[in-house]
Amino acid sequence: MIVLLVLLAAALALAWWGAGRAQGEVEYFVAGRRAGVWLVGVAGTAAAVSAFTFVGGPALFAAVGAGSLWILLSAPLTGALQCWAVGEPVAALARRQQVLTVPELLGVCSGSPAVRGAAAAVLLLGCVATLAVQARAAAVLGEQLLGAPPAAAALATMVATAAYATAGGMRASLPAEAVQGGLMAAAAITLAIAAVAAAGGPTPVLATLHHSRPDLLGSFGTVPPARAWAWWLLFCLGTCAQPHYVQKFLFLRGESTLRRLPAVLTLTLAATLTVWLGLGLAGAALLTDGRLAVASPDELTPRLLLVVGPWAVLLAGVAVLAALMSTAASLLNLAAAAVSRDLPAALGRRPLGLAWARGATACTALAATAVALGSERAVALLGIAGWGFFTAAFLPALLLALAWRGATPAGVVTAMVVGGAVDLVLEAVRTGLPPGLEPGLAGAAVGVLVLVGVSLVTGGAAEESREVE
Amino acid sequence: MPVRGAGAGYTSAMRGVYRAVPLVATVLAACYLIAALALTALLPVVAVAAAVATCAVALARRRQPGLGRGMLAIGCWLGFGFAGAWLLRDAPLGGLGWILAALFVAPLPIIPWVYARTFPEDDSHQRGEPR
Repeated sequence: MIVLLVLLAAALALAWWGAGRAQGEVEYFVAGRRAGVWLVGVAGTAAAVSAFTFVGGPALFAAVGAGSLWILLSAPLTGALQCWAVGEPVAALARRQQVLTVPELLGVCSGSPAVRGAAAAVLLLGCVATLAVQARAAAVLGEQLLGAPPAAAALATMVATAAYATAGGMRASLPAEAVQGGLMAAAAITLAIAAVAAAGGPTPVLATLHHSRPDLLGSFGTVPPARAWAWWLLFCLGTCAQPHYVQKFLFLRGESTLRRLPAVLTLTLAATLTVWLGLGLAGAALLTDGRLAVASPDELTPRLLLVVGPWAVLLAGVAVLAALMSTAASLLNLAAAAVSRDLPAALGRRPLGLAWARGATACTALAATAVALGSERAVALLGIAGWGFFTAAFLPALLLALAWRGATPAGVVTAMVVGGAVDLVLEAVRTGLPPGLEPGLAGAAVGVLVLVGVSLVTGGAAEESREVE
Repeated sequence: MPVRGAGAGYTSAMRGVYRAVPLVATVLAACYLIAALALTALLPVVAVAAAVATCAVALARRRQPGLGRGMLAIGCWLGFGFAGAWLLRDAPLGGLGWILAALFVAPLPIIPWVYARTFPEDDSHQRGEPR
C-alpha cells in the first residue's frame, strides 16, 4: 500500500507540473513536437511493453518453453521496420500537415473525414479494451506483488495515470514514460539475472530442463511451429499498427531524428525482454524440480520472485506498475484525442478543446477500470487479443493508405471495420482455430483484400493510373 | 485533397515499386490465409516475405544506395534463421541456442546499423511527402 500511496503522490506532482505546461493542443497531444530520439525511443518502448512481458511471458515460457520466445524474436527487426514502413511518412506528414492524432493522419491521407471518424471509433474501442487489460493486470499483480486488494490496486494505478494524463496530456506523459521505460529496462535485467541465480545459475537451470523437460528447449518448445511463425509475424507486422507506437512518430522534432531511432528502440526493447527469458527459464526449472508450485500460470512470477527475495518482489511490482502506466497514459491520450478532436471533425465540427479532452481522459480511465474489474480472462490471452485487434483494424489502413494512392476512403473504412470484426469473431472461437491462424493476422489479411478490392471497385485504381501516367 | 506518402519526384523504378504495393499486399494476404488454413509449410515463407515486403514499402518513397540490398540481406537472414530453427526443432538446447543467437542476439546491432546507414543525408526521403 505504501508503494501505491507513493505512486499517487508522484502522479499528482507530475499532474501539477504538466497542467501548467500543456496549455495548447500541440503541447497536450504531441508534447510540443520537439522530442528527441532518446525521449521518443525509450518512451516508445515503455508504451510498447506491458505487464504481459513481466508476468504473462515468463508464465508462457514455463508452460510451452522456447516456443513462447517467437513472440519477441522479431524485436531486432521491428524498430527499423516501423521506421521504414510508417515512421518516415508519418513524421513527414506530421511536419507538413501539422497532424496531431493517428485518425487525423489517416483522414489526411484519404482526404476523407469519414476515414478519420471511423478510425477514431475503432481506436476508441481498442483503447478501452487495452486499457482494461492494463487495469486488470494492475488488479492481479497489485495483489500478488504488493499485497494490495485487487480493486484498490487497479483503481490506484488508473487514478494515478489518469491524473497526469488528464492534467498534462503527453507533455507530462512523455517524460514520465521515458523514466518508466528506463526503470523497466534496468529492473528487467536485474530481475532476470537474480532469478536465474536464485534457481542455481544458468548451467544448473539448463541442465535441469535438459534432463526433465527437454521438450521445452527445442526451437519451438511445445508450440506447433505454425503457431510460432504466426506469433512472430503478428508481433513483427503488428508494431506498424499499434496506435500508441505510431503516435510517437508525431512527437519527433525532425525527420533526421529517425536515423538513430531504431537503435534506441531496439536497445531498450531487448533489455526489457530479458526478463521474459530469465524468469521463464528460472521458473520452469524450479517448477520442474518441485521447488516451486503454482495454481495458475499468472502466479509464476510472484511466486518465483518470493524465492529470489522481498526486494525482487518490490522491484517487480514497481516495474510492472511502470509498464502498466506507460501503456495506459498513451492510450488515454489517444482516446481523449479521438473524442475531443477526431469524432467532432468527422461530423464537420470544430475541436471541442482541452477541457473536453481532459474530461474524455478521465471518463475513459473510469470505463476501462470498470470493464477490467468485471473480466476473468487471463492476462496473457487478453494481451494478445488487444494487440491483435489493432493489427487487424489498422495494419491495412496504415500501410496502404500511406503508400498507395489508389486506396479510397470507402476501401479504408471497410477494411478497418471488417478487419477488426474478423479479429473479434475469431478471438471468440480461438481454441478451435488451426495453429497458424492468428485472429489479428487473419483480420489484417482480410482487411488488405477488402481494402484493395473495394478501392478498385470505387475507382481508386483509375485515379492512380491517371496520376501516374 | 488527399495526400500520400508517395508523390512527386519519382524515378521509374520507384514508380514500379509504388504500383506493386497493392499487388504484393494482396498476394501476401491471400497466401497467409491459405498457408494458415491449409498449407502450414508455407507459413515461414509467407512470414519472411511479408516482413521484407513491409520494410520494402520504403522503396516506394526513396531510393537510397544499399537500401534494397539491406532488405535483401534481412530476407536472407530471416530465411537462414527460420531454416535453422526448423532443423533444430527437436534439439534441446541447440534449438533454444539457435533462435536466441541467430534470430535475436546477432541481428540486434546490425539491423539498426543498416537503417542508419541507408538513411538519406539529403532530403531524398522527403520526395514522397504530401504535396
